[in-house]
Amino acid sequence: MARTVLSREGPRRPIDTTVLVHELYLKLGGTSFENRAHLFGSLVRMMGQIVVDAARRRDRATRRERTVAVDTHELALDAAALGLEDDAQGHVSNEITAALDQLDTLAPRAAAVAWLRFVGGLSVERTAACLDVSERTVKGDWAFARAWLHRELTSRGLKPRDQRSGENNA
Amino acid sequence: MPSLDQKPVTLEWWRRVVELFVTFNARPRHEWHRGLIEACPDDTALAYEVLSLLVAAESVGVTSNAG
Repeated sequence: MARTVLSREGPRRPIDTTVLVHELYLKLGGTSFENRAHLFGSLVRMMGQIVVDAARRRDRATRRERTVAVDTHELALDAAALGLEDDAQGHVSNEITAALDQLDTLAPRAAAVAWLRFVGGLSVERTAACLDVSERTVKGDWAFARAWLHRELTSRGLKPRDQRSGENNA
Repeated sequence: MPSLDQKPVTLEWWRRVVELFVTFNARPRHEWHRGLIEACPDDTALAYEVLSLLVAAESVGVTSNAG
């Protein structure tokens, strides 16, 4: 799972798999989990946060070394899957992870599905196995999470994706 | 001063939102409004919350009944 999370970062990945797993182990400490959904949802969320933090640290260090502005690199999440413009990838991804944390307080299972599918890159089948629920449940929760995230993020000012309206040569 | 209790935000309430969203997301659009009002006659906030999410689902392209 750690490898999948990092594979989305491409060659600029801010942290290596071993370090990620090690940091995850430290972060877990003596945490106990109520069930599989809680366990896997928490794991992938923590991994996402570790990658984001590592990217921030790296970008801060890069900025200190060079005065040239560098683009802030966050988790490379697919904003288009939420019907959003992804021209400012880093900013959008940051907003998405913050919104996912908020979703977790309202609908924890849907948030766990979203973290596993969206951040962890797991298939519907593997997500269902991780959470010990049916694939039908995963599909329903996934649809809900995407709709909720779209609404939440557009209300925060992110631009909805222009769906095939063809006016993109501004 | 606007109060926070305008929108119930219990986990149970949200569980119902998810449940209704999944149910109505599989139904044709023209059934949404009336169906939701009937499904939760004592909680119009719930009906409109689900309706708003169904509309968002259309924007994302996750509506099962599309096409």
